[in-house]
Amino acid sequence: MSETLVDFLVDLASEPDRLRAFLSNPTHIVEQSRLSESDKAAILSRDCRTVLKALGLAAGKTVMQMFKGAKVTPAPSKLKSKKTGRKKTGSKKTGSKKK
Amino acid sequence: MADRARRGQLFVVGTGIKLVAHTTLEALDCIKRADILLYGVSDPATEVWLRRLNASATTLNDCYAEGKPRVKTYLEITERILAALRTGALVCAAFYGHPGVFVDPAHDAIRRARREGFPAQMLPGISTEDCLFADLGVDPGANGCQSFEATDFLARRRRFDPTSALILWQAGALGEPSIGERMKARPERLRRLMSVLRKHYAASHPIVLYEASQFPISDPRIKRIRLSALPSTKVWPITTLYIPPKPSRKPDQAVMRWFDEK
Repeated sequence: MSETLVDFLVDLASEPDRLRAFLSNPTHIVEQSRLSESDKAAILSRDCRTVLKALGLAAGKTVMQMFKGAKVTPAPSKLKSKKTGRKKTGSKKTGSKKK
Repeated sequence: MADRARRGQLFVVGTGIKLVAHTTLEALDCIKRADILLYGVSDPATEVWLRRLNASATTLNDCYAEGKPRVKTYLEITERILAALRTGALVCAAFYGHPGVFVDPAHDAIRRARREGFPAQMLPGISTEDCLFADLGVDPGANGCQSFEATDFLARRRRFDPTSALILWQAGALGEPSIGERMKARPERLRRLMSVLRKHYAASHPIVLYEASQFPISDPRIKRIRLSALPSTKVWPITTLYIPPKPSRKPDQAVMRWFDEK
């Protein structure tokens, strides 16, 4: 039965001795695993984006949870009330740039 | 009246950037002993690890969707955390990186939990900025360091000191309200960013495009270019721009004399 890439990564990250062994001889540790050939290639690339791709994450999907839309609100001059000249309070933050 | 013995408690923790390795001992303790563990992380390996640590682990990632307004997503996340808390449980909400950096619902959940009378605490985690200092070998204490979200930096015409380091986040998503697959910065927007920076730096000034490593098997991505090359460079949403400081300014002699006298 094959080993999943996720389990391989978590095991490696959780076991310092195994991680050290990998860092000193990656090919040996990967060949001992039951990973698929494509997953082995991804691990041996030592490239974060390649590993993420092998995990089934496209670049955009990877960062979707991390991305935060900039809180860009109208310039202060536009927030002034025409009648009173006072700034409006409690302006709504949209979480994204207003176009 | 609420049962004091079952009064809810909230911890908001960070899992750091690099899988397993960056989670602090205090965060790990909270993750393990929580009655309810909620998480918002960026890769399935971290998810599996969290589920191994705590069987109650439940994702918050399903609150996100392409094109969905961020505010709506954040409110949903906060509501889920508070709903768990109101059951009287010890709740741990774990977020990728530092839970207080670029995570609105983390701060919101803490504020609202306290307002409702629940003990709530945020535990710091390792952020991309922390990784950047280590991987690039730069010390923010040497000349100071300014940090802006890239869209915010351009839109608000942020003032900064070019003799201090400048960090711009999410430059690959410059002016974008949300993230799409295979998105990268539009060249015309990078050109605009470059023109703003050119008022302060020479065209030959170095810029570092940085991506922290998410896995212990991989290295960080570090690409050094000149400022003039920015518009023609592929900048991904995950990329952070680090702009090293210009030569340091001389100290004000009057201030230095005053220090000596006092």
